Amino acid sequence: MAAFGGKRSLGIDVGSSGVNAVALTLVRKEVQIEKLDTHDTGAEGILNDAELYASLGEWLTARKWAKRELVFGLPQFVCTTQVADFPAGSASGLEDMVSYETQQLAGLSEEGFIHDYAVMQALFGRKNPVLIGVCRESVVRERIAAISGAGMAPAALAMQGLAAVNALLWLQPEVVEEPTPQILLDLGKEGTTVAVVAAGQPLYVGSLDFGSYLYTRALAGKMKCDEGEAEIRKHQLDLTQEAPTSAVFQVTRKLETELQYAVEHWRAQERGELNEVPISGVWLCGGGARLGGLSEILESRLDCPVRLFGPTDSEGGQPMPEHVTAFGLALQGLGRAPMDISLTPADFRWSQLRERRFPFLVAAAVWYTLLMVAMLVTIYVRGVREEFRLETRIGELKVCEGKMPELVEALQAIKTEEARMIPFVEKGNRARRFVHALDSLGSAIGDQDWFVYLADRDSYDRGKVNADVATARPVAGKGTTFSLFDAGRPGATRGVGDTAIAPEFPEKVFVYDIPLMTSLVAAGYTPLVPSDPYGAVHKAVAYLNQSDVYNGVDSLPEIDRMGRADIFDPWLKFLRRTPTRLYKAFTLQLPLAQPDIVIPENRERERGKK
Amino acid sequence: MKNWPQKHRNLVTYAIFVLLVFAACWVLFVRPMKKELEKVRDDWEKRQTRLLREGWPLNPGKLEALRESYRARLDGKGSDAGIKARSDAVALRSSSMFDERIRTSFGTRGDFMKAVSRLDYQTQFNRVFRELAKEDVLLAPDELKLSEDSSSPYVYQLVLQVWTLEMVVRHALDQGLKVAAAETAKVRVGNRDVPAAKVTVLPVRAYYAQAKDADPYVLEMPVRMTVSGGVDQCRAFLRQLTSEGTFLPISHLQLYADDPSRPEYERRGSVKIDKVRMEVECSAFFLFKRTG
Repeated sequence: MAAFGGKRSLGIDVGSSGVNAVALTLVRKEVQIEKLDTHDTGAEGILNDAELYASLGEWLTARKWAKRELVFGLPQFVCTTQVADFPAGSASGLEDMVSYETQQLAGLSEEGFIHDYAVMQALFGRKNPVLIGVCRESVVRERIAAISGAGMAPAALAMQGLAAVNALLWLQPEVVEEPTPQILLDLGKEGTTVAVVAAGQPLYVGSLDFGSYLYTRALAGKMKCDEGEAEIRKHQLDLTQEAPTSAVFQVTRKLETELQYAVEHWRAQERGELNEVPISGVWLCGGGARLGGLSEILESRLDCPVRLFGPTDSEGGQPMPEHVTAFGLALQGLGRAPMDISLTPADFRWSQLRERRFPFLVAAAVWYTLLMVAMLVTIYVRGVREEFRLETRIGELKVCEGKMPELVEALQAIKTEEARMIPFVEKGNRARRFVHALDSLGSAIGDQDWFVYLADRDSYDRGKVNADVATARPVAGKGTTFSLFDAGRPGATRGVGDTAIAPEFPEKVFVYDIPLMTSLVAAGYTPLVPSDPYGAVHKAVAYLNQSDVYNGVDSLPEIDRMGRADIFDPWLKFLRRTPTRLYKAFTLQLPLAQPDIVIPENRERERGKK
Repeated sequence: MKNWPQKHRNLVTYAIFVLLVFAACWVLFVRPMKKELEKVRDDWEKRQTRLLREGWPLNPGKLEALRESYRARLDGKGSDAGIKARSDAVALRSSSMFDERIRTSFGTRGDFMKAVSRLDYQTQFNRVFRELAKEDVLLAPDELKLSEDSSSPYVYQLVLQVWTLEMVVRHALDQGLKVAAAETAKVRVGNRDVPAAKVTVLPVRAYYAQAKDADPYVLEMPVRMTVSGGVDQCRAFLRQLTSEGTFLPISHLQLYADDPSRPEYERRGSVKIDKVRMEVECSAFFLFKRTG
C-alpha cells in the first residue's frame, strides 16, 4: 500500500493548458488548505513535456513547495480501475488475489503493470469488495523520469480520476451517506473523467472522449474567430441560450451521449443490486465545469440535480472546481484520502523512502561521529587523568619510599634500644616477683597448710630428673643458657688450671632469646578433708587469682609434675611417721598476668629463623 | 552500492573516512597512552604492594608524622628523655656496681679491660677467697669452677666474675643466710677435709642487641649458689639484690622448705616452716665497649 506520511503536501494536476496545485497542511490532525494555485503553462508557449516539467520545477521552487510531499496525477485514460469482489480472507491472501486479478486485467500484454488497491465496505451484495488501480509500468516510469529530470522529487503518483473522487468524498461528506449512485464529472480541456459513486464507494472510474476544447472549437466556428479568442469568449458563454441546432449545443449533446455510454458501461458490469438504480445526482468539477449553463442543461437532460464543487479558495471564498483533482492528490500526500491508491513503483517508493529518511541517516552519522569523538575523547581524557593521578600517587609513594630508610632506621634504633633493656628489665624484676610470691602464698593458705617449694617455671622444669635435653637446656635457637643445677656446662671451655685459649664470649645470647619468666610453680600440703580434699587448695587458688599479679592460677597437670619427686620425697618420709595425720599434696602453676617483657610476634619469628 | 543515490554513497564514504580517522586516532594517541598508563599503573601497584607488605602507611604526611613520633620516642621530646637515653640510663645503672673499683684502680672501663693483669686477678681472687673463708664460706675450685690459677686471655672477665662472686655471697651473708655445703667438693682445712661452699661461677654470657653486632653490648657474670636460712632472711636477701646501688638480678630460683627430717620437726610435732633452702642464680652486668 502507499505510504504517504508528510505533514505538508502538494497535489499537482498537470493539464494541457496549465498546472493546478493545491498545498495542504496537517495541523493537529486537521487538513488545512494553504494555497490553491495555477501555473499557466499555455501562456508560456511550452512545447513539450520536458519544458513543462522544467517550468513546473522552477515554479514550485519559486513558491518553496519543492520540498513538500509532491503527489502527481496520472491521467485517468492511462489507468484502469476495477471493483473486484473477493471471498473474505487474510490480508496476504487478498494481496495474492489482487495480483492475480491484475494479471487478468493485463491480459496477454507482455508489459509490466503496477497495481494498488483499496479495500471497501461490503455493500451492494459484495462480500469483500476491493478497488483495484492498474497502470502500465512504462507509463509510470516515463512520468517519474520526466518529473525527476526536472529536479523534482515526486512522493507518489496517483490516478487523477480517483483523486477527484477522493476530493468529492472529502469536500462533500454527504455523498458518503448517499446509497444511490451519483456521478462525478471532471471536465478537462482535452479529456473528461467520469466516476460513479455510491455510499462513498467509487464503483466505476473511466474517461470520456470529451474535452472542453470542443466548445472552444465550436465557438470559433460559430464566431469565425481563432481558437485563442474563442477560448476567451468561452468564459462568457451561456449554454442555455444556444439553439438546439447550434454547433455549441451539439457539443453538449456529445457530452451527454458520452456520459450515457459510460453509465451504461458501468450498469452492464454492476451487480444486480445496483445496476437498475437511477442516478441520483451529478457532481461537476474541472475547468470545463465553469461553462455557463452546463449544470442547468445537464440537470434537465439527466433529470437529476447537478452541482458544482471544489475546494474553497481562502481569498475568494468560492469553490474552485478546476483544483478538485489537485486537492485529491494533496489529500493522498497527507495520507488522508478515503481511497488511498498509489501507482508508484515499489522500488521508487523504496527509493523515495530512503530519500525521505536520508536526514535520519545523516543524523545517525552525525551522532555516530559525535559518539565516537566523545568516546575517544572520554577514553583519552580519562586515561590522561588516570595517568596523572597515578603519577601523583607514584610521586607520593616515592616520597614515602624516600622516608623509608630513615623510618626503618629509627624503628630499628627503637627496637634496639628496647632490646638493650630486656636483660635488665626481665631479670631485674624477678627478685621482686619472688618476694611478692612468698607474701601472696603465705596469705593464700590456711593455718594448717604449708608450702614446701617455690620456683620459676624454668628452674622447676630444669630440675626434673628425667628432663630431656629440650627442657634441661635452652630450646633450639634460644642461645646457650644453662640449667641452674646442671653439673656440667656444655661448651664450657675453662676449667681449673685450664690455660687453653678460649673464645672471648663462649655464651653468646641474642637478647630476644632470653628465656622469659612467665609463671611460677609452688607446691605444698594441706590437711586432707575426705569430703572436700581440694577445698583449701581452691581457696588458695581463688585468692591468688584475685590479685592482679597472677592470671589463671591452677593445679599443675600430672605430666608436668613427673620428674620432680625430689620436692615431696622428704615430706612423704616425714608424714609417714605420723600416720594419724593425713595431708593432701598440691602443686600450683602461677602464670604471671603481666610479664615484664612481651616479645613482639615478629621478633618471635625472627628468633625462630635463627 | 552502485545504484545508491549519490548522497547515500557520500554518507557511506564519510562514515568510512570517520572510522579510519578514529582508527588512526586510536593507534596514534589512545593506544600509546593506554600502554603508558599500564606501565604507570604497574609501577604504582608494585610500589604500593611493596610498601603495604612492609606495613607502612602510604601517606607521606602520615609517614612524616610517624618519623617525628619515632624520633621523639627515640631521642625524646620535652620532658621525655627518649628511649635511647632511658636505655642508656638503665644499662648504666644496672652495670655500675664495679665502677668505683674500676675507677680507683684502672681509670675507665676501657682501661680496665686492657690493663687488668692476671696478677690483678690472682690478687683479687686470693683476697675474696680469704675474706669469705673467714665467714666460713670455703671456696673449692672444683665446685666454684674458678681458681686462683685460672687463666684466660680475657682477664677482665675473670676479675668481674670474682667481684660478682664476692658481692653475691656478701649480700647473702649480710642477711644472715648460710651458704650450703657442696655434696662432694671438699676443702682441706688444717688436717681435715671440710665440705666446700656450694657456690659456682658460671660462664660469662654476652648479650647482643642485634644479630649483626660484632661485639656484645653487655656481659653478664652469673653466680649460682645455695643458701639456707629463715624465710624473712631470704626475703630480705632477694630485696637487697636489686636495692639502691646494687643490681644482682636473679636468673633462676628454687626455694625449698627446710628438710623435714631435721630433729626440730620431730620435736615440734607440728609442721611449721621457718627455714628454707634457696638455690639461686644471680648475675652482675658489665657494659661492654671495646676501645682502641
